[in-house]
Amino acid sequence: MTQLIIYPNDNGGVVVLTPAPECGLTIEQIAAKDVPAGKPYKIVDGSDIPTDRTFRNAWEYQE
Amino acid sequence: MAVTLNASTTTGLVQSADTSGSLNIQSNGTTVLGVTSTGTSVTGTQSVSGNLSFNSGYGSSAVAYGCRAWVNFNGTTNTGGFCTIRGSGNVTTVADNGTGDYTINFTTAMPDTNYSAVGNVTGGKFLGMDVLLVGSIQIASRDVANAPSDQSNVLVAVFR
Repeated sequence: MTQLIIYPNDNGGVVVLTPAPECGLTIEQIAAKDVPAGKPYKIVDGSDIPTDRTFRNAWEYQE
Repeated sequence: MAVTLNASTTTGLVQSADTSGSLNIQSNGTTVLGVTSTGTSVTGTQSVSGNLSFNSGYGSSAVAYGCRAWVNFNGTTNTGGFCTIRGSGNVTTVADNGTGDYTINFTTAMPDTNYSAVGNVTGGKFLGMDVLLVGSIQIASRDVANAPSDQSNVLVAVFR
C-alpha cells in the first residue's frame, strides 16, 4: 500500500503528501525534504486517508 | 563492426579498426557513442553544460529550452483517497492542501522563480498558478463558479 505523509497546515487543516513513484527517495527522505521545517508529521498508509472529500477543508491533524 | 576506442579499466586504451566507416566510443567495453554515416547514437545519461540546439522541424538548429518538471495526477478522491500520481519528472511529491489546492514539490529546485509553468485540468474547469517558489509551485483548480474544486486530471509542466 502507498505510504503517505501528513502534516498540519497553517490554517488548522492537514496536508497530505503523495510521493511520486519516480522520485527515487525513501519516505523518510521525502519527509525530510518536503515537510516544512518544524512541522510535526506522520507517515501513514494510503488506506488511512478518508475517501470522502466532501468536507476536505475541515480535516484536522491530530498528534 | 566498427572502429572502436575502448577506455578499459584494466588495460587502458583498447582499439580496433575496420573499414565499416563506423566508430564506437566505449567505456570498459560498453558503447556510449556510436558514429555512422547516417548520424550518431548516444546511450546513458547525457550532460550538456552549454546550450542544447537542434532542428527537428523547427527550420534551423536553434537552442531548445527543456521542461524542468512535469506531473500528471488525480486530484480527486479516488480508490486511495489521495492524489494518485500517474507520471512525473523532477517531482518528489504532490501535496493535497485542501479542496482544489495542491503543491508540487520539485526534486531538484529551479534556479530562481522566473520560470514559466503551464497547466490544465479536464472537464471545463480552471487551473491557476498561485505561488511560485524555487522548490515548489502551488496551484489551484476551480470550477465554472470560481469555487475550489478537486479535479481528476491535473496536468502541469514547468519550463526554465
